[in-house]
Amino acid sequence: MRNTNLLLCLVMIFLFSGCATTTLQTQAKMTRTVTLMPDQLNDKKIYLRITGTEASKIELEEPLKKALIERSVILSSAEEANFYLHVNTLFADNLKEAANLNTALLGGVAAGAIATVNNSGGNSILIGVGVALAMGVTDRALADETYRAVINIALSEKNKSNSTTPEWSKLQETRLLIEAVRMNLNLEEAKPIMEQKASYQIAEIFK
Amino acid sequence: MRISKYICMVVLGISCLFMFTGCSNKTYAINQIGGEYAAKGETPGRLMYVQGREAWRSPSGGYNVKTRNIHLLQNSADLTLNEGFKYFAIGLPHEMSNMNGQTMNTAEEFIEKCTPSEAQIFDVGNGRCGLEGSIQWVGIVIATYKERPLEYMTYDAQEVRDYLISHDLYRKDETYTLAKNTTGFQKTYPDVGILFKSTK
Repeated sequence: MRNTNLLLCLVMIFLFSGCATTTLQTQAKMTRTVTLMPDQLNDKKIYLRITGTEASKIELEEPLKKALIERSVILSSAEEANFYLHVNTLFADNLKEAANLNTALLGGVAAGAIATVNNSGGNSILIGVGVALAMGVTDRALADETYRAVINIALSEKNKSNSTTPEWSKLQETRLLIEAVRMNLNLEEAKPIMEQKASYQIAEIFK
Repeated sequence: MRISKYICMVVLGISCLFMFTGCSNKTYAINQIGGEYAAKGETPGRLMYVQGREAWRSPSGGYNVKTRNIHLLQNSADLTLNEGFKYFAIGLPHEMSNMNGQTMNTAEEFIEKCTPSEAQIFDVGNGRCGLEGSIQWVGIVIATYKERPLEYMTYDAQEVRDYLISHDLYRKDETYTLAKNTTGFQKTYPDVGILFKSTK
């Protein structure tokens, strides 16, 4: 009898092993490629600004500064810098939290605050996390926990022709989507993964 | 003897007619839904509808769905390029929608995630990425662009076509036909309106 139970347990384990992601799966993708010419990379003085919304649970300041310095970037004041890099985290959390964000945006409670920090409408955030709502991730007790970060990256270059009143001209803009998926993945584990992936991807622009 | 042979030929002919009636139908596409730049988002984009179909009705349900879904991707890339665009994002169904945040944007990823194994002979369980698992044709709504939009991931149509050709997955047996009647697809996707640019 004991052997039968053991066998049954083993069969169940094999049967349901495909239902959950037991190893961590991560990916990071940019919606557009950001390219700098070799001559633009000669003098890598950057004025860095990092902002985020209430829907963001990651902190990029320290890891991103470290990653940039490792690639010979000099972090400068706005007056001395050649580039202005604005990194704005629109969403970084478990996709199940997208339902709350959706409610907040539709209800108008946090929409104002988020839109102000974003410099864009609430719909813009939902494009990045809407897949959660569409797939029913938010209201189902799935085995896998999916964490996602949606980060807007805007890069401007200083116009050097007019030295008295320097102007910034926007070079390129992209959005970085980061995902970490695993069974029972929690925020404490997902946070450093998303921070490391984001820092690496952004810093690589200046390599 | 001659009469029985004649009857056999007639019966066989009629049987063949019934068997292959489905094979003569074409897949079709709609090269513009709404206005010229109707897709939501900041980058101008045009919404289109495109179908894919099985190569032939094999005994393997998995094979049928696999060839159908790859044909769908092929027609999406071809339609994008033929209409003068370079990139496309999937709008509907929701499960594979880049416009909803789906990050899948290469042919390799699409085939891995959205096609079942050929060894899966039954129809049950072959549905992938919101596409039904037992029908000959499926259609999706795509948004096509000349430059990549900021908000979501897009497929590079030329890269998709090159990948399918280099992996012997590009089918020359059938291409899409542009449809004259552009209202039929709305039965499949009555909520297509959510992909339109906000008029606010």
